[in-house]
Amino acid sequence: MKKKALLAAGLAGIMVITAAGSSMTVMAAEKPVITVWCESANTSMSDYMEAFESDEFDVDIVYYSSEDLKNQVRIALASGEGPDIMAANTGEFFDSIMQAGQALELDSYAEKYNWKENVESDYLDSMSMNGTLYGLPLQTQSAWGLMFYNKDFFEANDLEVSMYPTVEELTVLSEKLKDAGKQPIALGNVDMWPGILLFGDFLLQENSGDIIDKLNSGEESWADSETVKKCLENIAALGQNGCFSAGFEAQDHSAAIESFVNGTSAMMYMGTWWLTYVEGGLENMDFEFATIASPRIDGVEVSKAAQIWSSQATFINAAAENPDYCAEYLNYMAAPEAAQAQYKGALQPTFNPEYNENTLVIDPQLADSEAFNKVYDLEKVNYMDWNFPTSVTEALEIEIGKLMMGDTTVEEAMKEVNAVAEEERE
Amino acid sequence: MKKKRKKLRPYLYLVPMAVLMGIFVIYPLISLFSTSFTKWDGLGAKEFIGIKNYIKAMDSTKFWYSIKLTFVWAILSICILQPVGVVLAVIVENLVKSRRIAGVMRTIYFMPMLMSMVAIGLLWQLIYNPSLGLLTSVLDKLHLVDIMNPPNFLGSKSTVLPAAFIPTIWQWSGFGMILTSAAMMNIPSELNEAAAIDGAGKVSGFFRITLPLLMPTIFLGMTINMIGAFKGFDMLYAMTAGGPANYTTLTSIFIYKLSFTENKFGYACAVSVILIITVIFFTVIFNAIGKKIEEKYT
Repeated sequence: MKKKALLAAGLAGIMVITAAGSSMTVMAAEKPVITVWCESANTSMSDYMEAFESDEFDVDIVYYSSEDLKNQVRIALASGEGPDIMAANTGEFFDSIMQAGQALELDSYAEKYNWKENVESDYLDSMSMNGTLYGLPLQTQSAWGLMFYNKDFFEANDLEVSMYPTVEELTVLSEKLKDAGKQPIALGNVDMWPGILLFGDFLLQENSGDIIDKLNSGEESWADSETVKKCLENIAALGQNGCFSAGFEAQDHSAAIESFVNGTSAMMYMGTWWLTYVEGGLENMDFEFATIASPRIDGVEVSKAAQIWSSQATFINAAAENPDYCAEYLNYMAAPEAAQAQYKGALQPTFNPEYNENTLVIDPQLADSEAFNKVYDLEKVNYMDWNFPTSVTEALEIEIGKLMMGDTTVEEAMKEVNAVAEEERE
Repeated sequence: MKKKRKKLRPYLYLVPMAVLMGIFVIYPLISLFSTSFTKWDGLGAKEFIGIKNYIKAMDSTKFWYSIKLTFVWAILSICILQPVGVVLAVIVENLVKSRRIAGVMRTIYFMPMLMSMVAIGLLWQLIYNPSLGLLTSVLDKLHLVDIMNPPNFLGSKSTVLPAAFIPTIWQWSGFGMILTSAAMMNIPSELNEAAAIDGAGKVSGFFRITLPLLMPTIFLGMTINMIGAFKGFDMLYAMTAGGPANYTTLTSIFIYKLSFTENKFGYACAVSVILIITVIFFTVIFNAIGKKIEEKYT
């Protein structure tokens, strides 16, 4: 009898739990969930993203590192799955997503939410196909074409560097820095993209962004281009003359930043996004730094264009079940408050032109620099590692690596890249 | 009817594993093989292009360079990892008197095997870093290097591959030691005792009795190391990303870059098929040699 009573009580308990569970499922099912995959954000931005509230739907955000995000998005889209909102690098990757019809058309939402005025319009072309908008540029506008140096160390050792330093000047300066006990320019080229960005900074000193189209179309040959030759010669000289910190070939960008911030290297070549890498913020740095232009081709000061881009397109999955909710969340991400959160964590110009114009106050260590101020007025060009077909980028990165180590000649490097570019065009 | 059921029963037990093998091994292999005949960027439709990807691989200097590096890596793995494991096993089993200390040593030698490959790669990248790393710091304290021009092991074509292999020795020798130790424990003690009575010393006893009996195990370890070397990816990629330039781009890294950097999945699949065939070919040869060794020494 006791056994039967216990069994009955147990069954009743299970039924209550099951009923509660199913009612919870029903409740959860009433409120749809929008899934968002994005690159790891700084704390202020992730706090803002997660603070979103709606009576109609919930948001589930998954953060990935840049490389993981790219792979996850590709695999998910290839299998016909994927989140509702995601981000992809502009250039070949986002082009293929647009062509495959996997990104939702955003024109009607753009009109409804006034996105074309809320986000930097310079980047919208790279997120559009045949005049239709498919993605939003919601990243910070990190700039290259700059270098940073330890102002305190330079002053204490009576060292000087010009605002637009040539390779020759940097070669002499590097020797002086080593004599004074510091590694010269911190660079982390193990992943090889810093090398191609340096190439881009040289390339855009005497050319506008059109040079990229010319190289891609074959109008300008990688094998014969005087411009390309000049850029590669300068890169080879920097690498072989000891202008970079020891081990630059085998360390990554975070080690390069660490090398500059902890005082091992007196200078650094990096995009302005490094500011977010300083633990505890810039006020926690032991020294004051100053900003100058990246290494110059002889006789060139201000460049014709700069690598400043919103390199990722945030887009809605064409297969999303609730596109209106997705657009609503995207609009939350494009609001001026989002720009403020973004600046708080990144300390550089945001995606929102109005915010940048009226509210933004840049740190004087950057803002006092003539090179920094001029760079944002130049023609904006996507980061150089996204401008060429990936196989050409890969070949160029390898050849730049070899040139910096003195393992190939400029002419050989040009031939190698040209062969890959020709194959790609075929 | 009962007989039929009895006959069927063993096969039914195999079904769960066969299904798992089918899903996770056979299907991906078939898919890999079929994709290798297509042009595919990983997103759009696959376009059948016959054996063009294979021809492209055969014509590619990058592919052959990666094969060359893979063979160097495999030779280093075969010739170094297992012999070092044998040396460690001899130290632990024969030279250390206390069994407790031997047990502790065995654990310590085997411990790196339990660590994540990626973590080891990143750790050794930092150790080797000329301006921030532990190695330069130690060498500087010993006044062996100029701190402004420290050795750059991972940044030079001539030293990067051997330098990148050292962490592999550190990690994988413990595996060879465990294999060898287990085999040494299985050698009947009477053999060594009889040899000792006949006047054999410890050294000659080791070379004439222990080592020949260990040969099949040593060869098994070498075969496992060879297969591991052909697949070598995670630790090396975390440490060097295939660089500097492409000086450590083994075929597995080449495949990864083709697929996930250049988005050439069809071509990457073709190279993978070639790599699989190469591994099978050498495994068959190694197994044949292994059988002969087993016949000779047991």
